[in-house]
Amino acid sequence: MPGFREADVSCSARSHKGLSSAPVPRPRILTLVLALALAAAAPACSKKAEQLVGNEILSRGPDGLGTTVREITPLDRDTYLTTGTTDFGGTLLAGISGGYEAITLLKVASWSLPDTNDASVVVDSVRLEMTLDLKMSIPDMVLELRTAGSVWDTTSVAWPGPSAGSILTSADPLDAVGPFTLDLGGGAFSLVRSWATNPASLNGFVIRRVSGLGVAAFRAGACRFRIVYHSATSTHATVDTAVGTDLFIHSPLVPAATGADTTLILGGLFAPVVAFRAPIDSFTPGFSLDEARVVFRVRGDSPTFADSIFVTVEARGMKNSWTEGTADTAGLGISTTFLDRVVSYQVRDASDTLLIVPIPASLVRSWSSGASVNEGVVLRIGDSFRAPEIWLYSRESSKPPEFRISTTSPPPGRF
Amino acid sequence: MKRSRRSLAIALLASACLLLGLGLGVDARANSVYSLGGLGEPSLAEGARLRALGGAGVAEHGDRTHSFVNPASIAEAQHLLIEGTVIPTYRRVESENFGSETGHETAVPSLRALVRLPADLVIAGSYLVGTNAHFDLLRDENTGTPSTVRIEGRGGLDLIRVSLARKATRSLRLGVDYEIVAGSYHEEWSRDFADTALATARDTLETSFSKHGRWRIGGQYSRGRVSVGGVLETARRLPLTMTQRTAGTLVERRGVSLTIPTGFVAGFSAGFSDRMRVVGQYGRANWDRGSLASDLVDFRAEERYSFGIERGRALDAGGGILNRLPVRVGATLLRWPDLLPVSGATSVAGGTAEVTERALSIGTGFQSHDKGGAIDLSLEVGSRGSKEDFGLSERFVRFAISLQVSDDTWK
Repeated sequence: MPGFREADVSCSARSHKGLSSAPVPRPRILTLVLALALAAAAPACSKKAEQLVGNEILSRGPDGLGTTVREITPLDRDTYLTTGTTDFGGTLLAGISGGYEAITLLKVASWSLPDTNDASVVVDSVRLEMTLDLKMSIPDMVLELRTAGSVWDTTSVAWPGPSAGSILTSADPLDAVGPFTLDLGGGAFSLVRSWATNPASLNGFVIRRVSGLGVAAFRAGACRFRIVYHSATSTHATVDTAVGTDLFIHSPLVPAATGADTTLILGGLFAPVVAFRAPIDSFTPGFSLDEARVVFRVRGDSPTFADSIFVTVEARGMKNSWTEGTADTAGLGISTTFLDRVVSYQVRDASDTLLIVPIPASLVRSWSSGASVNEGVVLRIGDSFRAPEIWLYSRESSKPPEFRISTTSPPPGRF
Repeated sequence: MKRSRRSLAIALLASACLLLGLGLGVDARANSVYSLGGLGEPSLAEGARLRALGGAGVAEHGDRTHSFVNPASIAEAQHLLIEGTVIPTYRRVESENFGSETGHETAVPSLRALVRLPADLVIAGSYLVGTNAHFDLLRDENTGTPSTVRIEGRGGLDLIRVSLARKATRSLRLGVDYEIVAGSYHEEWSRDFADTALATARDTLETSFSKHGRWRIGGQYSRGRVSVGGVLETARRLPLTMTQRTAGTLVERRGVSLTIPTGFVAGFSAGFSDRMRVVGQYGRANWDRGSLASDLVDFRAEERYSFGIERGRALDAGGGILNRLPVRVGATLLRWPDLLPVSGATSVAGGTAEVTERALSIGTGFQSHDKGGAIDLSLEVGSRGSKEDFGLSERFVRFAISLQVSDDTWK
């Protein structure tokens, strides 16, 4: 047909050469096929099937699919260690509780005074203000502030500390409204001026219990001397002097650990830590570690916690060797970061209380492979003074701690 | 103009369908229950058209028909051609001691794109699944501390092929494949304990191999309605690396090799009328004990026997739709290369048995009016394995959908 080419006229099923003006039918059969294909593909998504029947032919060698074994082994070393008698932590303690006594020591590096050239200045009061740490209850007791009677420094100070010097003032923390205040009176300003002009004349201050029982807690770093005065130009003015050095020392734990004790003391006012070591076997390469923890049993006569008291037990690694005769944590190379911790721990009914300490799998692997020396773990309680001591049975007792470790041998390969 | 729009719409819709299938196939798992050991389920790469003929495609040739098994079969392609296949499979497994279960999954056995180059050369790139090792298994383990073990396996042998073919004479076609053996075997093991004090044990097993290639050389010869074809496959040794990982540790084992063996495929296509023809094929891969040293699997030669009969499309446009549709029937016998431990044995030392697969297939197809695109369908019904040997047997129904589009489709 002149003027037409095949490409100009659509073909149809009836006239495949395209020389037709008939309407081209829609490809219904293809549409149907596509719909079927879609329908077939849609439900063919993954389904968990044959999960069990495959066991019929699951053959992976005579050793099976890997075996999980739980071993309970005794510790080969345990003891409790003191952390010295000097505490530079975030809390200052002063007072007496049973055999425990704490004394707070303070030092001022330099004093701030009112304008001493102003003849109109009249000092109304010189006082030491300390912020109570409400993590502990406020005891009804009298604390006194004295100058230190002998020289001391932070590098060597230890119980019993410097001798007591002149008494400056005393007060009962229970009477405190706001900060605990030890008021030296306006007359003490001349003393302050002499300390300011001749710092060597002052060995620092001592805060200790005079009467009553209990231990008061204050926030470290928050103590200050405040001088209140008035002058011709001001009816009420203050000058504050920050206390540059603050710490407390306490009496040592008595009796000290012998290494053969049947009880391990953890936490409390003396803040002892528990060190232990469990032997670790060498396992099959590629093993899975399903459980690694040490289970301590709490003695039935261990003090119980008040309802609101919880502690955090931290586990830390040790780098250096030690024996059960070691008495102090100094020189053990205790890690500054914890490995794991047990939070919100509380001894409510000591008769059935356990202390279960998880040991990180990476550490156990490292010990097992010999990549690091197994010197054990030390347990400590943060802010341990808040809670009573926890008395744990030691390995020398009738209920020794257990090291529980569960491992699974590696699965067999496909070929 | 209408024809072009219609063809384009068909192609786009079909592509969407195929892509959907591909997307679903990504997460598919749990192929043959026998794939949890050895190399995995051997996959037939052919599209639905040749699957309906039992997979007998070594002598297949034409401008729009080709086979994955023979690189020479693409020699007559005229333009650009893309083909992909999606296979939903439903299976029923019956076991002696663990009851019966039904599963289904979707797999994509092959994708191919080919184009004609100057000098009458045709080049193709293909992705094929060699073996499929997907499985999912749950087991109560009572050795030592009781636990529940879950194993999720995936991977297998994947093949990436570059093919080059050319007509040597009017009757002779030659082709060559360079086939890279890729893939890996990956298993995730998790072990849960009733005792909450024990953490879940998780292991990853990975068997990977160096990605080396091998050659496959094919030829076809045609005379009248009869064609014969053959393919030779070279061997390739692949060093294995077996890795086991769990939290905090990794164990690696080397020194074992997987050897992809030599093999050959031979077959014919014989037409005895304008529309009727029969096809047949025999394929063999010479796996043996030396292919992979393992206590958990032994090998024998993989053999596939394929036979099919096709009634082609009506050459004229007349008649009803059944007359215009091609009809294909076929049969396959596949003997897996894996010799797996028999029921009750924990290794090949306790005895092995082979997995034999038998299937019957039927199919048809549709071609776009410009013959640039086609959709082929096939349905396969079969069984594999023996309850006497393994304690379980498997029956399956596979539905294959292949989509073929060419540059004619886009015009």
